[in-house]
Amino acid sequence: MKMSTVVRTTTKMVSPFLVTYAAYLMLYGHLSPGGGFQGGVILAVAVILLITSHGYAKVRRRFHFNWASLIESSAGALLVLLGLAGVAFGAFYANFLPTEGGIVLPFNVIVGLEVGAAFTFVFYILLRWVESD
Amino acid sequence: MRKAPLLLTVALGLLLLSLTYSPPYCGSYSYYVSNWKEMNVPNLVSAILAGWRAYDSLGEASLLFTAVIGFYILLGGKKK
Repeated sequence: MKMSTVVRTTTKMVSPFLVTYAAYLMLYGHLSPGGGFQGGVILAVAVILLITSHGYAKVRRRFHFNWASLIESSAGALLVLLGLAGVAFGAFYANFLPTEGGIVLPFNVIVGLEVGAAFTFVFYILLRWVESD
Repeated sequence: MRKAPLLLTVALGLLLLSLTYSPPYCGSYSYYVSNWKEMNVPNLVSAILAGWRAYDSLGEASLLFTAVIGFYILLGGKKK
């Protein structure tokens, strides 16, 4: 399933900028408006745009199904480990990093990766289910 | 009959305009604003979501994780 050339070229041009914007929202979430969840959703939209315009069979070759699963589960585990690392410093999610914002920056990045991989993964599963008919 | 929705809309608008929009300085709001400096984060929303209420955000992330696991279990297998 492919869309017209205009749509395919436009989505190819737009999606790298979406990934950049998602990285900005995640990395600067503690300084400016933004945060992990919003960055993750935009990260997922960059892949979903490519899927809708180019079709699942072509996108699957570049962004593998297993990668989304691996990133999703490892980010979920890292999020719990970040909280457990705070236990050594006094409390669950204790702020133990001396940098500006402390654990807010890694927390935002991990939540963003988790949310982005989760939405991409759900789309992959639904598309695989629909196309396996 | 067309007048009733218009009247309701105008009444709702007047109600919203007559409310006071200055935040009440009490409860958790005053705690967040007065202890803002201890987080060392300029963005108060991030300081609340990832600092004081990181436990909430962990629940939100695990909710999404559970939803994905449900999708994978229900629809992820190979169809015969």
